[in-house]
Amino acid sequence: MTDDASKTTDEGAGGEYERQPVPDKALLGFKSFVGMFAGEHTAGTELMIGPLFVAAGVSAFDFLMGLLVGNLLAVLSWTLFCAPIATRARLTMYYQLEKICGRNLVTIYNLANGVMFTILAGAMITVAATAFGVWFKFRMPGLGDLYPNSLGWIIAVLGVGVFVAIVAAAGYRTVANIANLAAPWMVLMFLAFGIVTFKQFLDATQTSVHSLSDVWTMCKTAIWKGGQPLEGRTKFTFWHVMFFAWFCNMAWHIGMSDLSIFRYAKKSWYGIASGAGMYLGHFLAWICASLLYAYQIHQNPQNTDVLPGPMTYQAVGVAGLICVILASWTTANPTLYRAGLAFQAIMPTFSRFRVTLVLGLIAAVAGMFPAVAMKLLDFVAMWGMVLMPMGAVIFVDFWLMRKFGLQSNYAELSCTVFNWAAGLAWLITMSVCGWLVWTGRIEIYFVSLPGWFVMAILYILFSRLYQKRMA
Amino acid sequence: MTKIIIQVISWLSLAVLILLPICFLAGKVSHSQIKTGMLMMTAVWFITASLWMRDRKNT
Repeated sequence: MTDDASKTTDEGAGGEYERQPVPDKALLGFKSFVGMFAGEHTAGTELMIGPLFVAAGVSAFDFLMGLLVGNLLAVLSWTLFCAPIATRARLTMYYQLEKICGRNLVTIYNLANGVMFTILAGAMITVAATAFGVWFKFRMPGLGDLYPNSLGWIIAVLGVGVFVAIVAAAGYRTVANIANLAAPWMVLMFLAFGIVTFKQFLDATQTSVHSLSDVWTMCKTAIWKGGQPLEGRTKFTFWHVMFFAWFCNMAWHIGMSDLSIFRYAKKSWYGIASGAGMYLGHFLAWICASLLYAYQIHQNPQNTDVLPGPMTYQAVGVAGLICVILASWTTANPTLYRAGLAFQAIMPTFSRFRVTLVLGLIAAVAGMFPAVAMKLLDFVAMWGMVLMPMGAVIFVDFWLMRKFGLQSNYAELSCTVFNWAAGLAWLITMSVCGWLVWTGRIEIYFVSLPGWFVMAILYILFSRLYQKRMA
Repeated sequence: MTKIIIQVISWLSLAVLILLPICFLAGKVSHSQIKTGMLMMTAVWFITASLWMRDRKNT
């Protein structure tokens, strides 16, 4: 995923062309986007997401085909939804949203985004702490644990959290440099996890591979066996995997956050550069990370703990622990930094340093509770559900409003700070989606697709009423 | 010239980093050997790459 953390999610992160279209001289080539996506989508989150697919009882065909198709849909969403608007308007998502919805509604969006980023940073602190558990041998939480279960765990998470908070507040640039340094190494480390664990599977099952058919047989019978999920987990089918792979970055493609990135693209087809991130991070890295967990369960079916530290240590030793720490640290830091900026935009009298530090401490406390990390699939799906409606607003406003005889960029034209048509549509869409999920009528992985259409229709209907009334 | 040598060493360390698991898959090296080797290659990568990446940034 997302790595998601390094996205420009606020007005201040880039610091350039925040309130004007990107000029031709600042446009970037295709390779810039390939490198950026490849680096950003192989991150600490992948170490949790891969194993959680195995815990969900996914079968080999469902997993691999679901990832292939879902990631393709994600790439198409960037290419056909996000990039065409980005390369035409060349504005940040925030400025474009402000023109449509008004400053106050954008502030609420910022708040929602900031909360999500803080929680994600907490999950990454959890992941990093599992590496220290290998060294210091304290008791770590299991798959079903919601609360911290040992003093050692609390101290480790707090230690990592405070360190991450201080660095995010004071030295973001240093971490960004380390992230750049680690990016190519980290991709190879994920690949190494996969290769080493595959060999261990071959030895453990005493399989000798003579053809691809032998590999496939082992995948089906020993690695991703399907069957019942672990206790308390949802059973994942092809559709679950496909929708998860498609929507785990929903806030960025269909939700349009990456307008801020693709406004620098010379052509809208540069959206296919996202394929580098999807097929390295959300295909290769997820598969390799899932192999680690599948092997752990194969060796000891009672050991269902999803702890990246011990899993990677078992595969490649101390280098694996370094990978866990760096992957989660380099994800948590930009995540916290951007959460800090989001909140600081709401409370401009507080310094970014202080806001980021406080958020970091909140993330550290959240990180003590393993519930978020262990439910990362649900959390990521919820993130998409909450922020996706604003992407529908931008899409409808850009392509459809004038066709319905309505004004686009209405907040800017009418000098309003809160477009009630968008705000109300967002509230109702989230309420309906939340109700559908809460009552078990539809699973969270699927609800965002109908939710997008509900939002689009409501926004058009409410805009008709609102613009008529305001006129 | 020194910079080129450092760059070559750093890329070689990544090549060896991924060759070690492949050799393990082929049964040519032991599990403990790849653990040690990967840790060494990790150290080499971070030390050497930080030198030329920092240099590139300065220029």
